[in-house]
Amino acid sequence: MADEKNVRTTKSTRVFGDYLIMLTAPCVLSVWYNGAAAVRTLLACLLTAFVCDFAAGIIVNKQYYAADLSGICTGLIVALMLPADAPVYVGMVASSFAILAAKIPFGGGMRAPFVPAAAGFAFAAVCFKTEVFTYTAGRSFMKTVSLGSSLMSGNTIRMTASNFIDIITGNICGPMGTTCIIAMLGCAVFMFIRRRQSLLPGAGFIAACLLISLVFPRSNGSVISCAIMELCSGSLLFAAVFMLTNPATMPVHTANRVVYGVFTGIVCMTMRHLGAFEEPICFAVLIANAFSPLLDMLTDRARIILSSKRSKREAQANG
Amino acid sequence: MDKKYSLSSMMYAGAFKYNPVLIQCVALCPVVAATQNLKDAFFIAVAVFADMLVTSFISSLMLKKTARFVRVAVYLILGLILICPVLWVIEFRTLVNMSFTMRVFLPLVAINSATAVHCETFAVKNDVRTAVNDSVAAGVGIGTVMVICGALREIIGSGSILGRSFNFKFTLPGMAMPVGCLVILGFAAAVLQSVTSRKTKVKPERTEVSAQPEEVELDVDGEFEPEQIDIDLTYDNDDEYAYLLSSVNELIDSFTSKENSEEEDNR
Amino acid sequence: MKIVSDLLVTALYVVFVQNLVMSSGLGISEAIRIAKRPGTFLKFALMISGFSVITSVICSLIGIYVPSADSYAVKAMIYGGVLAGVYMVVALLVHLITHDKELLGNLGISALNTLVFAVPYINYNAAYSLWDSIGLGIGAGAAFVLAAALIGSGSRALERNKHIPPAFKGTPAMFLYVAMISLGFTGFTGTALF
Repeated sequence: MADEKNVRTTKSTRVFGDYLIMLTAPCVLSVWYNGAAAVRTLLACLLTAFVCDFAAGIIVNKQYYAADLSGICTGLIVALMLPADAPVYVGMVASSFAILAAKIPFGGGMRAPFVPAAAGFAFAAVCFKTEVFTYTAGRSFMKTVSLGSSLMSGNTIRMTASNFIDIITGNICGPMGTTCIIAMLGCAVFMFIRRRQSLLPGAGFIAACLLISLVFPRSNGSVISCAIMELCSGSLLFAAVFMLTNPATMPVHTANRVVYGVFTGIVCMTMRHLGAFEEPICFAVLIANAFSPLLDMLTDRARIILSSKRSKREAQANG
Repeated sequence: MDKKYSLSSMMYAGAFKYNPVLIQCVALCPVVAATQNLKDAFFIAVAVFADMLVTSFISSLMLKKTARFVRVAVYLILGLILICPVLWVIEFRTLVNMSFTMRVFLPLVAINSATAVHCETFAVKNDVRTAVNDSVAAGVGIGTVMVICGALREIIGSGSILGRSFNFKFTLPGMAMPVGCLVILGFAAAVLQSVTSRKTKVKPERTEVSAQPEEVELDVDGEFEPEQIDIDLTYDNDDEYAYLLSSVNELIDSFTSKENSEEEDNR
Repeated sequence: MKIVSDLLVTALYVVFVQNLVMSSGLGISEAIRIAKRPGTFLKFALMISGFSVITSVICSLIGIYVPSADSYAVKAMIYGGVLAGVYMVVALLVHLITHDKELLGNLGISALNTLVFAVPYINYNAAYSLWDSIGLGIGAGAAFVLAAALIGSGSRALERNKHIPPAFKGTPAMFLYVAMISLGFTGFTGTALF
């Protein structure tokens, strides 16, 4: 029994250990760009997630394993999606909701049917819409207006070389740890080496978002600029790497994983066009998480029906 | 099934152990949508209680011989006859300032599933006293959950209670939305479940946090087997009322099954 | 063409954007119960849509031709009375023609729930046209079934999950699961319906 537990903890540690390694890059960049404010937000979320995880584990009569890193990962992911200068309580509320309502009741990070960090951020967005989507930490380019809010108001930026470099290096206004495209691509490469199957939903997701942004641009400017802004704004790529790759929430069947990603992309872009929030990716992830078991159920049903038809046909051919 | 049950045992089982909202999952709509603050929650709780009491009384007294498909419509009409005049009086003859949510959701109480479920499972099969006792127990159970939800949502969601502000540094408006209420219901049901399991001396087993194999998909991969998902309930076998409550989900399912009771055919 | 597009847009809006069950809790008890029986989803979608459409059309016509008071009590009497009347007519026809007890039971659940009762209120508050109200009625049935399908597949996943703490097994985990779906749909509107 003890061996079984050790094996389980080791495997859980491996999955979330990978996430922790990948999270290092956006964490370092967020501190580089935002300084002490980023450290404060990261620490607040991290400590809240850890304390909630530990305390809830005791309350629900479970053993807490320090090697289970899912709580820490959740805290960091939540922190990186917030503005650096968001009030501390916003991060604390988001992290505690993620752990207490979306992780512990479902048996832990590897069993939660919804990505805890997405639930935590979505709840924070509903409760503190202004604080979560107001970016006042000035950076060199577009000081207080994020790409997402520009698109919401129908504006595009001219995609000059310097603007493009600012965008891909994350030197723009936005969530403190999700805007650096180079870092996200690096994390995706790491994920490709470690668990390439997990990247399927992310690939479907980005393809769907790209296609929709090309067909239905949110601004009157250049379609290409608009598509680049859509993909680089908010936490879109961050979610593709850190949320859609969650092994507990993605569908079982390989083909369904792509469908799941495409579906998330469609919901996300629909919410960006019609929804109430500047960055609705976490809401889209929650809806897609709810569809994930349904997709598998429908596929299993279709397989049973097909196999029964095939066996009937074979029986008829034989008899 | 005309048996006398003691009010106290019915209150324990009907209002607490097998709470209609937290365990039987009935009357969720008024709880989720209309308990955004304590005042509204109290109004709705009183309306549900009165609706259940009157409907159970009348159905036990007069509707035993009526066909089931007619009875369910009568429950709605009875509820409307009870609630609409009160709503009209509140609207035009009192100075009570009723919220828009209340104006919409108070009449919806007339159609709540708790009334239909309790009338169909108990009232039309028992004597008037038992039916009334059952409706009191269920009404108290639902009302208590509503009041608790209303108070918590008002305190956490808007930082006040009955309009009196606590001057919190921040509030969580998300708690006033359906998601907030469902989260409260989830935790309330968990507390209730752990308390009742302790009372029945069912010791929860010690499990581990979030430790499980990396390849989760291996666990669930395989052929789909259609299965009946029933809410897990434990009950004391010696208490017949508790047993009935524990099997209320099966009873509700039987309303829509082909195997209807013989008495229904006789009617 | 405009009529059809209005109808479709309203129906799609009610199903996906403002899912009445998930974002307002209307008919949520019934959705949780029906979630256990995936085989009946289509039947319930048709019946709920049918009752919603008929009720909302009759209530819209009453609203146009009968000068009713602004009182919500009077509205409740009219809407409730129409719903009960429509249900009784349909149930009596089914009773006389087929005598199918299962269908009669399902009719009761489909017609007499808060979702169908709330449809005329939504029509009134949103000042929907006749075609919009038909779209709303169709969307209500589809929204109900979408919610039931999501809850049903989630319940199966929760049933298989042996790591859920004992206190949360059963209804607590189900409530939190529904809460997360509801939170997801909040992303479209940001507010509650009523």
